[in-house]
Amino acid sequence: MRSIYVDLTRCLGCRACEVACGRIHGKSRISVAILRDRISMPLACRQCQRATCAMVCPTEALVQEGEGITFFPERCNGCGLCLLACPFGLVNLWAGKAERCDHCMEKSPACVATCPSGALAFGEEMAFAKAARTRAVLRASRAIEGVRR
Amino acid sequence: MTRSLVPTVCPYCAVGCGLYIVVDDGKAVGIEYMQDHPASEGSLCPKGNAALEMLYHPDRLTHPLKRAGEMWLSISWPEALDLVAGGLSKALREGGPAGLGFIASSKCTNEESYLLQKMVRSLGCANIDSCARLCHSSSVTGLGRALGTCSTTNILSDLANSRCILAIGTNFAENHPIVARWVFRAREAGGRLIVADPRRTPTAWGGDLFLQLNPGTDVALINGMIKVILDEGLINRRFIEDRTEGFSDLESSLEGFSLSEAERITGVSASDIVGAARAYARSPASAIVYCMGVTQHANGTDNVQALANLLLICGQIGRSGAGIYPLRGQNNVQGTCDMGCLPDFYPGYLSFEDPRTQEAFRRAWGSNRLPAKKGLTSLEMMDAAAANGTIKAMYIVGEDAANTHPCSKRTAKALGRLEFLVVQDIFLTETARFADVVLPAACWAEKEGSSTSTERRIQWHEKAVEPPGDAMADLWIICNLARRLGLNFHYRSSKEVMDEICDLVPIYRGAKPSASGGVLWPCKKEGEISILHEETFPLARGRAIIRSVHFRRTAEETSSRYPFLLTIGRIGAHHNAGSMTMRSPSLLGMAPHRFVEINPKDALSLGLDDGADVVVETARGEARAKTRSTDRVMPGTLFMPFHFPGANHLVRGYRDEHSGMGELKIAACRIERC
Amino acid sequence: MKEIFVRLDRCLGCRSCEMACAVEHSQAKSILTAASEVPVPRRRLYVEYAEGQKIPLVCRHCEDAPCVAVCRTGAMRQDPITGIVDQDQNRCVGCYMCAMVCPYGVIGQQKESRMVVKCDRCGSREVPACVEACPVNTLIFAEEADFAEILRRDAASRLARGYSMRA
Repeated sequence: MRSIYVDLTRCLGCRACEVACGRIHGKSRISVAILRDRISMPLACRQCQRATCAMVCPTEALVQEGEGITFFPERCNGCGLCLLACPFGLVNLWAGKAERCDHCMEKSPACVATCPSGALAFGEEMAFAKAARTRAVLRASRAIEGVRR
Repeated sequence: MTRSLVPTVCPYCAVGCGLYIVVDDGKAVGIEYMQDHPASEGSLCPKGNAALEMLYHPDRLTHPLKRAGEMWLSISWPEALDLVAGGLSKALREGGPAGLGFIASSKCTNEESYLLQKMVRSLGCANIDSCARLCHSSSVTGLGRALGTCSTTNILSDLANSRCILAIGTNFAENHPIVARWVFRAREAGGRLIVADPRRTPTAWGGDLFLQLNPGTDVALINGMIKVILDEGLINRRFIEDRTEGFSDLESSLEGFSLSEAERITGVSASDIVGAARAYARSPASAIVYCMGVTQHANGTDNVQALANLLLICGQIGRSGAGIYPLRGQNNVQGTCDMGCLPDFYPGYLSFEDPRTQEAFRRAWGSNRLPAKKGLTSLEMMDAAAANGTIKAMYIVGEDAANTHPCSKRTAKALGRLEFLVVQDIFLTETARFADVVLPAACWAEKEGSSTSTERRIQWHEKAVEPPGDAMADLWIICNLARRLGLNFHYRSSKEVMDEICDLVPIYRGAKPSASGGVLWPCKKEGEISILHEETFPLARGRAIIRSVHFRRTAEETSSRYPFLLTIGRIGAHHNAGSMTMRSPSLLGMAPHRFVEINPKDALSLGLDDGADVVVETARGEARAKTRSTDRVMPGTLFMPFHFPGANHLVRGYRDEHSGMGELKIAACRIERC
Repeated sequence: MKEIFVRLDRCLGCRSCEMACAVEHSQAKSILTAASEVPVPRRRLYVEYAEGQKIPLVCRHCEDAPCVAVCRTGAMRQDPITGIVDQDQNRCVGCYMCAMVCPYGVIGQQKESRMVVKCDRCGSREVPACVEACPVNTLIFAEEADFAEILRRDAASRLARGYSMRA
């Protein structure tokens, strides 16, 4: 299943993702946290496989289905328990209903398409992990360049 | 239902990202990303995403306005144009062409800017300038003299091929975010990013080496790096001998300059200066990216020349991954300069002084009245208007000079003293409030034309929607005005003007700017030239000029009355004087009011909490703000964004003698709780 | 405490370590049947290539590990004495925060369900599977002092060779 991944070495904290998501959904479902003026990270619904939001929903509007979460807006009464339960604080209440990131209806997330620095990615693979490994190898390789000769 | 996607270019910064406006029944309803755009690959920063929000704002000017005492009267176009023509003609009769002053807009299209300067010069007037005076005029002089061109030498995507990038005086992470895309690709391939800035910005977060230099000490830093490169024999001797002049002069000028001197002046450790110098000189392809932190000083030309010296002694120019990138600020400031909206250059940067230029344009435009000498800069025009009244009438297009000029209270005074002022804009800005006649213009999405991005990319955009009310495209306004002034301006479309430009302006010759991706200048038959100076520099002997520069302090000194240094710059949420972004709810929400960054140690000793209401005062005036306690700024330094009107009142008008640029970056100040 | 060290100049890129790691973490512990198990057993170390260099990247079991600090459910935990970071699969919710904060990119995903997989130092073995599998002793399981000794011996023999060639 697909996730929105963040390459933390690339996030600029520009918040283009927030503006893009807000442009499409009214209120942004992705939120950028800037910490101690050193690092920033955009976060959208983590699609947990044991989702607390689904566990607390009294009307079964949020349901754990397979490995993902499905939302049935017609069942939602806007009680906001999901908002309280989410450990990441990524559920919104908008126009009386809960809202969370659904990967732009599992198509092409706008935040990913708009991210200027390429920090956001959507898909099966964790390309950011590969990039981190490559960086580590490059650092090591530069370090031992002298040793080999 | 008629729904279409209209390709266009973002109206904000000069990266020139392409996007599609979704038009539904004549209304702009959304944005689609242009994924094959060569600079942005479909991305848009927050301003680009919010670009449509100002289109239908109720403050949009919809009718020509005439001042009637304290009020505005809505008038018709014929009456407005007659009034303007009348006012300008009167000033011409009374004071001659030297009595008029024009400021072009960096948000107008190339065609509009070209016609404006053609009109101005055809009236015999030489006083035309643009906002470039306030941003990259130091690049026009600095790079122009050193390299013969004053634009990016390589294209943005080529940054991915650099192995070392020196980002100095630029906060591209916030203000040109797409640049980060390419810089990070270079980093992924093992390239190194060195960031030099008095502030630890998000750009610095991504750097391998951060040089937090004291404000205004760039020349000392770069000379320090050059000294290391000379001492350690890291120069590119072959390149120096084959392609430059002036190296021995540079060598001897730095004999008395030591690394410890550089350390003392800049506050950057000697070991960091050495590290940066070695990384830059040794890498197979190094690039320099710079912006207002380098140019907006009274020694801006020196700063730029110092960067040119650095790249020339290392031969880091003229090939993939190696070059220099002055990042322009506005979507069409590059184009407006290319089109000659500068008092000392004709279109294509052809020099005023050259009699062949005069002759060529005299013939092409069929006019015998072209001015013989260069004109005044925008700041000089304001001086002339304020002081001795030689400038009687001004015509300002799309610039809020009352807020953007340094020491802007003086500019406001100048505007008040003019006999006749016309302002052509999309909102009633503070500058417009001084006008006698206000002309409502169409904005970016409401007209067709081309604009040129910072990487020399000429892009065409189609008209997406109709302008509100009676607002008209600047092209229409200028043509109608010119005809009333006796000039033969009968252009039926922007395309006709572009044809004339491509004929006359050497660097645009052969350009056929298209809607998606555009075309780079200079255009050649064989294809686009993405990398300049591969073989030669367009200067007298084909060689670049290395010219020694010495550090001299042009920043205001602190004193017991004004113990802090205030630096002024951009933030990502807003654009320039804020007339568009402050009317865009998403962007205003990100940064609703003026703030001043203060180091936590200073905040503590002054007893200021985060978010405290304070007054920042300089010798020119004061501004209120809320504090933001952060270690982005060093102790003793403050930072304030200039987008909220009133910041530029605080800086003084001390100017660079070569470029006319004001010392916009730094002012000595005090900060106090309100 | 023994650690897994890497002799950076020896890796052949054969990936025997990756294979051994995956097999060790399979049900049947057999290379013949491992590939057909569900879920497919996954490697927890990565041989990466960059600029002509091959280097196996193993979880460093960092002191004050970021992956442990970021984990909301307590699935990622660090033994206070040995320092080894391992994972309680029953608690993992697949939010991937640990993967995103790992500076080495050595936390991977189990594709069949939302779960991460990470090196656990092969708790039940004397010597981790990857180390045993390496044919050229690139991976060394040793105390830091002993590993440093190996590197010094290598450096000394290179020096000695160079010196003797002068003479």
